[in-house]
Amino acid sequence: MSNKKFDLKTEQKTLVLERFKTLNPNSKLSLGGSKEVSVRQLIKHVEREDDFGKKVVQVQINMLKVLSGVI
Amino acid sequence: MVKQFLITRPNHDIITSYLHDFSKEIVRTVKGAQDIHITNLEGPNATRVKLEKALSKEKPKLVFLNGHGDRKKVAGHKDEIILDNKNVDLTKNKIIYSLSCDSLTDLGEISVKKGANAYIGYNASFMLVRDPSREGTPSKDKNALPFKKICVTMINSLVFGMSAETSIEKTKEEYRKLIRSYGTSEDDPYGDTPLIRFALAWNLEFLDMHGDPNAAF
Repeated sequence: MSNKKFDLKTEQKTLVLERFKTLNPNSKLSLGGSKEVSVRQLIKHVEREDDFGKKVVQVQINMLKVLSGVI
Repeated sequence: MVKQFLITRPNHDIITSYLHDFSKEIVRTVKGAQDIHITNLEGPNATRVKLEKALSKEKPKLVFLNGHGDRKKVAGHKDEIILDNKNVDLTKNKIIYSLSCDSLTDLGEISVKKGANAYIGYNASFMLVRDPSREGTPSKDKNALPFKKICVTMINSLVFGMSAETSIEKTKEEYRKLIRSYGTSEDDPYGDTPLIRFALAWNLEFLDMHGDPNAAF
């Protein structure tokens, strides 16, 4: 058994990054004001753990809860 | 008694052309309803002056704003600011549904403080996934369909008298249903499903309201 301490936030971040890495990095989401964000940029935000990146992780985790029927 | 419904529908760039397409159905539906009068500020008519005039004179009980926005404002034709803290007092005694980015956060709160019955909107960007090959014809963009369904669910619920809270819950349930069900190979010729699901989950997370949950049209 590993002695590594379990860190939920790190695990969630890793999970989200792994999921995004399976997507086309050039695929884009449209935001308001004609702005766009690519999968590559989403990954960078998550890696940097900036405000947007934190929201991305939170949304992905909640999305998985919806998919699994938890909410 | 005829109820007054006001809608702004700018249509000057790619994003507003999608929102404009999303609201076509509700305009058609309401035009056929005998007990609802619609004021349709469409395209170049989605201006600050025309919005202010319609809010003051026609006193619509339900206002549906489509367009770009941020925490402090909502825009109309060619991104003219049509609602901000200088004229938000005109939303008094009204239910506002703003399909725009971020405006719930500050403008929504101020609107309710100034007397709006309810302000429904998003606390973050409204996300959308488009098929770039269909930008000229949003109605044929399969990627945009789930976002259109959501828009129709919310405004139909409000127009036909559901409370703000029930309309939001119904719309959130539609979001969850779409997140779970979207993504057959027929839906997804370009492998965009995971991104569409993410955008739906994002919008689900940030859809909310200020004001009276029981407010109804």
